[in-house]
Amino acid sequence: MLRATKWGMMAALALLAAPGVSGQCLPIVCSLTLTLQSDASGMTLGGSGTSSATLSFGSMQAFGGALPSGATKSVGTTNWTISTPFDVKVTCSNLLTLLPCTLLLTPTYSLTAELQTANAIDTWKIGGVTLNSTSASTLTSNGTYGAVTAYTFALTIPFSESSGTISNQINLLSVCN
Amino acid sequence: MKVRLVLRRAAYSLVLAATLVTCLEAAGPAQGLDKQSQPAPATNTPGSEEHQPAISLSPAVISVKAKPGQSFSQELTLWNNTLQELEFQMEARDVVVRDGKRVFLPAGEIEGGIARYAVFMDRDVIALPGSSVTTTVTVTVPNAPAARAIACIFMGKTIMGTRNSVAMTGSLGALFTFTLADDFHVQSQPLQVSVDADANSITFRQGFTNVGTDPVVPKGVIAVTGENGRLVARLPVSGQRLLPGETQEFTAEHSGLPKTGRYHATVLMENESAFFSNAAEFSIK
Repeated sequence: MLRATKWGMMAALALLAAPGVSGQCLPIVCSLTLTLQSDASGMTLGGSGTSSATLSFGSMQAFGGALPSGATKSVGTTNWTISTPFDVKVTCSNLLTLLPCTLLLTPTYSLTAELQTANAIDTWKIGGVTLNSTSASTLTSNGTYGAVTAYTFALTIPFSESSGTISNQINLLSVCN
Repeated sequence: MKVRLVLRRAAYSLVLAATLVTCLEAAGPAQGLDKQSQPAPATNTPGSEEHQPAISLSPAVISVKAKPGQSFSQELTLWNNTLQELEFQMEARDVVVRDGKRVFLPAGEIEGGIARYAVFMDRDVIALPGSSVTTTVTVTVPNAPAARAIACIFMGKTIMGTRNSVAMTGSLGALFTFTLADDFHVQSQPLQVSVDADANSITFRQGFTNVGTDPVVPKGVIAVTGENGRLVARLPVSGQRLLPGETQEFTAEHSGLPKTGRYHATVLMENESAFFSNAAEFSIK
């Protein structure tokens, strides 16, 4: 009687589990992680090691003036540029290492950047890629998980711009490939 | 009698194991369609690597097999392993290939985009420090979808520091790919073989372009045979996802050089029921 009940339960479980979804890993087991870090040769980021960070250049001018540690200034004929490197690290992890999960994940990620507010006067670049507020600019389309990648932030200010405060927000978006 | 009992127990164990496997495979919040959430190789827990503060999103990739007009829902969870409360706005973007690169286009920007049919349970979510937040997205596949992938994004809205600075905010997106017609067609470029005598290695490079309408994740092997047809080396080729119109280079490296002679390299890739192959000759001097 007990054996018959066991077999019955097994059959019912098999029937319940069979239809619908197939070949699926538990969604909870995979995750994408993003970290922004200070680069060894760059400025110290406020909030380094988190997903949000700030670069405070303080008060700067094209000619003379103080330069924050880790920042670089270059002066051209019509504009000047301040720049500093920072690091991005993206990892992709299995949360429950005990669960075997053989489904495939492309071993690279895309990273894009976008300005939050339009700025038609200054030129904002990360890793040589010009940013804008209307679309996301691709910084990399084949980033390697776990690698700390240095990107150089550069802000170019024309001499024609009057003195004042320049600020903006850059949104860095990471998506698995 | 004893043999019958052992056989019965073995059969019972097999049924139990099969049921458990099926249950594990079927678990998760998938509702309505055939989906596959795809993890990376196991390493750690979200954001806890080296106890570094970070944000993590799970699942990172969801493969959906559907028909136009069908809907499905998926839970997305974001972990905030920082000391700060973080605010996010949910956003869906179409992922398309332009000039060989993936671009993330706002919902509604392209005709036939799927992102505009993604509805989030919560538009704005707040993740408390050391905590997670979960929301659900429901996507309806339009009747004539042009794109085959969307990104469902936790768009960071928290600004750090003062107004007199450059703030950088991290955002994470889950990639949803859609297989709608089982149209898996890949065009291969010539197989490139580079023999590096100094490094004592051979590198195989195979470019593939997805010329079908559905995403493909080709993976396979490269077999190297000698003049006598004997197998010299067999190298696995890791899979890479190709959206329609996308081109990627698949590489495999063989350390060590075989003895002098002519060799034949054959690459064989598969994606679900579709197979793609290519071959090249090379010699070792």
